Amino acid sequence: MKPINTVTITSATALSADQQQTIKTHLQTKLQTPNANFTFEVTPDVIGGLIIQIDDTLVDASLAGKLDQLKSHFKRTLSL
Amino acid sequence: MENLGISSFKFIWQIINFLVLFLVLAKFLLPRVLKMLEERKSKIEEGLAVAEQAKKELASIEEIKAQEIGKARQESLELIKQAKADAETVRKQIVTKAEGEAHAIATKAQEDIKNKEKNALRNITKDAIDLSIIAAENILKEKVGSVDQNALIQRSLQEFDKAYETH
Repeated sequence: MKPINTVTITSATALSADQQQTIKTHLQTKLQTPNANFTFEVTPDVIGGLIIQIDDTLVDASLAGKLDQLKSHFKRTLSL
Repeated sequence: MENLGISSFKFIWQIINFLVLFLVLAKFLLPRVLKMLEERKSKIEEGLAVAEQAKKELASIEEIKAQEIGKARQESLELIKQAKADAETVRKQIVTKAEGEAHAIATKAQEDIKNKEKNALRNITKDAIDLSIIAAENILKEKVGSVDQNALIQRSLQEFDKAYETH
């Protein structure tokens, strides 16, 4: 398994310390990487939810991402 | 004769003179006159023959002329007929070509209209989607503050788990 160095979490509003810790614990358990460097960023365009980037892998679980997926789905379905 | 005042001597003498003159004339002048008359007759006959020949030739020429005129008339009629047929062929070609071009123009116009309708519909749909997404985005921005942030975070983490497992 490739070692993970940095994990960046982006949210629409600033997360509380408890929320950050919950996320950090969850990801450390999932990724089995207790030594990874966690960074929390705030971008209002995210609207809600989280964007999680692990080194060069991005998982967009934000509401903005959902809207983009919805938009792409419509355009693809309607051949626009 | 004496009773009529005519002298018998003179009368006989004049008859002799007449006979002598007749004989002289018959001997020297008559052959020339006859020859001249014969030549004249020959010339007249020759002239008549020439005239007859000329008449025949004229008739022949008239006949040839009539034939040539008839032939020329026939050729003219055939030429006119051919010209009419050619003109009709050209007319049909022009009409066919014009109809083809008109059909092509109409078809192209219909295709253009369809394409424009399609593009307009596509643009309208695209705009509608963009506007719907913007509207949804604005609504979400307004409502997201009242939503439980922890629930959103949990949901995001679940999605991450699912996505990361399939990665």
